[in-house]
Amino acid sequence: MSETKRPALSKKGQRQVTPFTGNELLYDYMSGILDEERKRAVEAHMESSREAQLDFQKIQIGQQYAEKLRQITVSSALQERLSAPSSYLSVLFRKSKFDQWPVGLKWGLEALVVVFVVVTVLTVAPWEKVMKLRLSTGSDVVLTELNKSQIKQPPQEAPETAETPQFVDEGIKVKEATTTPTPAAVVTTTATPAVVAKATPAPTPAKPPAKVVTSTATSEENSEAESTESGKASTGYLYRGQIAVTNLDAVGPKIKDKIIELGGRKAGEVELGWQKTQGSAYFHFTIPEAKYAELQAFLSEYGKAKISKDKHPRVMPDGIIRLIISVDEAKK
Amino acid sequence: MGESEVKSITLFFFFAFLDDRRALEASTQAISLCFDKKKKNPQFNNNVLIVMTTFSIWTKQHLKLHRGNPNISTDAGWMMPTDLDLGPWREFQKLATQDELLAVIWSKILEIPEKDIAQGLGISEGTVRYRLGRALRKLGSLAQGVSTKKLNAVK
Repeated sequence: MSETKRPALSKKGQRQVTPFTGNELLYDYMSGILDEERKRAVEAHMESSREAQLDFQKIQIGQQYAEKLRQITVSSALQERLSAPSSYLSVLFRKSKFDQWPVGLKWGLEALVVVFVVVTVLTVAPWEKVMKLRLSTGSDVVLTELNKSQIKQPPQEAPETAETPQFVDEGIKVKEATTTPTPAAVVTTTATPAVVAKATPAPTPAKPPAKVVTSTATSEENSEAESTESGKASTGYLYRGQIAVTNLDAVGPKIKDKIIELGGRKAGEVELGWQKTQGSAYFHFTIPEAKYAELQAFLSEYGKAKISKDKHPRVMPDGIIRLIISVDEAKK
Repeated sequence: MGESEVKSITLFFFFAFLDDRRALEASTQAISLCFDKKKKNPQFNNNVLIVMTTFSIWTKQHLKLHRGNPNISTDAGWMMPTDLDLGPWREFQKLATQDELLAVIWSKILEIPEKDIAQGLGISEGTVRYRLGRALRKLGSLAQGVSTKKLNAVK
């Protein structure tokens, strides 16, 4: 029993490798990392096994093909792009796997973000200031300019106080104004200190664009100038009205008399009750605010007066109101 | 982390995914991960780091991959020789096991030493060689159609 030949079990006994081990050692053999004894054993196995030869050939081809694949490279542009440090947003997108979200969800989220931004802007933006800015541009009217250097100089002469219109007539159209019988465009005295009043836009193209009115400095005017300087902050009012009467020729003078009786003074350039057109008289005047109700009552005797109170950049002194009333002949 | 490491990581995902979008996405993640690890431990072996990070990202992303649907274009920034036939690799990428595929890429294409691959994966060098042997056998059988002349020219 013990006489039978058995292959040696140790390396020294030069044991042959089994086909399985031989095949598994083919790659190591090709790599050249086997010791001499193993190398010889694998070679001996390959000589006897056609399968091992084919396997070895496949490994060689695979190795050669893999080496050929090394020729594929990455462009420098792509390398730079990948090497660039990622931004916070890109990291956020990557971590949240944004590109894998359903399209509907993405669009919904984007719409939500847009709505949120719009609502925030609409809520936070100081719209009142923006509107004020828009209203103030182009509609600013410089009523008076106070020359302080002239105020300090002593008065040279006591000038005659000229009765000058305090306000520029705003209700007259350009064409109509050219027909004005008493334009009184510029009234100037040499008195100092002077208050320079400037009003724009000019009522007629024929006249100079700005009107300069110089008069004696009175406390009332000074206070008016001061109030004008701070006029941007406060807002004045203008009463505009219209009334249709029967027999304008008779009623017009009565209204004029009543206005004067109530302490009214003409404002603007034209006289009280100026005939604007045939069948229409124009009253631009100031009266004490306390008399306003009485005036309304008086006017109501002749017709239904429609008077509205509108905002106006010009601020009137306390207790004084300014009115522009158009008295028209009632249509039959 | 230098240009060669960035290139290696990018090429790894190119061969592993054969999909431009996925490859670039995974490369970005792996490069970022590599930078972070290198910052924490500057002594880290670059090859081991590449194996670890690419394997980590691959493990996360390969489940979503449908192998056998290559989607690559040179417009994405890959530079390929005109005479190179990617057909055998496409087949290999589709048929090979994960271990075989990754072993060939790391060892034979990126030329990372087997010792570093073993260290990065936490396995023995013998295991790496075993996987390589099987993988090359499979790849060789697929590449047998490719002209032997062409392959010899590479040698």
